[in-house]
Parts: sequence; C-alpha cells; structure tokens
Amino acid sequence: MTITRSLMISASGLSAERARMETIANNIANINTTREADGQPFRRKHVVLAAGSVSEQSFGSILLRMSDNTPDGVRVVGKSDDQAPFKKVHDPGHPDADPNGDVLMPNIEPVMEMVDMISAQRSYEAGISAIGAAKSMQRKALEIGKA
Amino acid sequence: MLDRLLNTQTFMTAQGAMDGIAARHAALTDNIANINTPGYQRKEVPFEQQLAAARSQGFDAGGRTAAFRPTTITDHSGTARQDGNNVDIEMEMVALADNSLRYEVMAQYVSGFFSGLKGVIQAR
Repeated sequence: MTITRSLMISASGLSAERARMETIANNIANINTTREADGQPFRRKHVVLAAGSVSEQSFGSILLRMSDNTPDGVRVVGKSDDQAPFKKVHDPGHPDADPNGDVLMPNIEPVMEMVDMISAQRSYEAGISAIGAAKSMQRKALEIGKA
Repeated sequence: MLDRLLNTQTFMTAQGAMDGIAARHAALTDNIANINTPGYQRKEVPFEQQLAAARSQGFDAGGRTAAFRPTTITDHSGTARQDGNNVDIEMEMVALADNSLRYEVMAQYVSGFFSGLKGVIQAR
C-alpha cells in the first residue's frame, strides 16, 4: 500500500536525521579531545547520506520495488572524517604539547556544528509533518463507507 | 447489477485519483526524507494526464483501473544548491499539504458515493 510506503520513507528520513544529530553531539562532546586511539587529536565526523531502498522486507514492498524499480527513502552510508587541518593552540602546560609548547586541537568549529544541528532538527520536523499528513490521509480512507 | 453501479466512469476516476494522490504522497515524502542527500534529484507524480488518458479510453475492458498505474518521474531541473540536490523544502511542504487536502476531498467524495448507494439500496 502506497501510504504505508510513505510512512516507511519518512521513517528512513527520521533515522538519517537522528544519525546526523548523534554525530554532531559526538563532535561537540569531543571538541577538546587531543588524543584518540591513534595518538592524533579527534577528527570531525560527518554522516554520508545516499538515496536508497528502505529496508522493508515485506512481500508487497519488494514486489513494488521490483516492479517500478525506483529506490525509496534515504540511508546512512557511513561516517567520514573531515580532512581539514587541526588547530594549533599554544599551551605549554598541556600533557600533549610538543617541544614548542603547541597542542593540536580537533578540527571542530562549534558554530558549524550548531548550524548543522539546526538543519538536522528542522529536517526531522519536516519528516514528522509528512508522517502526520500520511496518517490523516490513511484515516480518511478508512472512513470511506462508514457514514 | 452492483458491477454496473460501481464501475461507472466517475467512480473509477475517483479511485484512480486516490491511487495517484497516494503515489504522489510517497514521492513527496521521499523528497523530504532526502532533503540532505547530496546529488538527490526530486521525484514527482504528474498522474492527471495519465488518468485523463485512461479515462478517455474507458479504462480497460474489464472495467477496472488496472490499466492506470501512476508513474513516478525524476525531475532533473537545475539547482542553486552546492550539493546538487534540487529539493526545495518549502515547495515540498506546500505540495504535501495540498496533496493531503486533495486526498480528503476524494475520500469524502467516494464516501458520499457509497452513502448515496446505501440510501438507494435501503429505499430511503
């Protein structure tokens, strides 16, 4: 049923936006992390999104996908590291300071993270509205023949 | 007898319109879900002409709407966005609101059709 499919697509959008939100929270939480497992400062992560099939495994949805052959929804392909250079801060007292007293800090810009966060939040809200609309449409369809 | 009442052109058109509107809703939700996907091209379902064509051919011989299947097309129009995504969230949200209203109209129409039919059957 097409409206059920709309709901699945919206749900995939919501989980993609939530994945973005989690990554942003992780970036902000690690804004002062100077040492990761590899000894390097923390690198800013961002989520890679791609248009693709929602992972609905019912017979109907697979048949539908095979018959019209259009990928639906969005999926998180993975996370990638931001290759921007680290910020150098002069702090001789820091345990990770080099002989010159400089410390490499993560390449995270708080302003950028905040803007990304607002974008993720608004996109999530748009998805919620789409779900609301789909639900009210389905309810209207169920009312056919009631009166 | 019931077949003759239910398979009228008008009723079949209403049924096809509901199918088309539901398919368009799936396309719109897809566009909204992919608002942040780089390179995504928006989808649309311009089913009206298709439905009009199916209607002028009297749908199919069995009097079913099977001949009419709304097709989803991809809109390759250009974009001002850096990431190559051509979804405009305002347009999508407005289209979504418009589309749900259209669905309600059709649902109400079909509902009215059935209650009229019921009235006739009960001879009231």
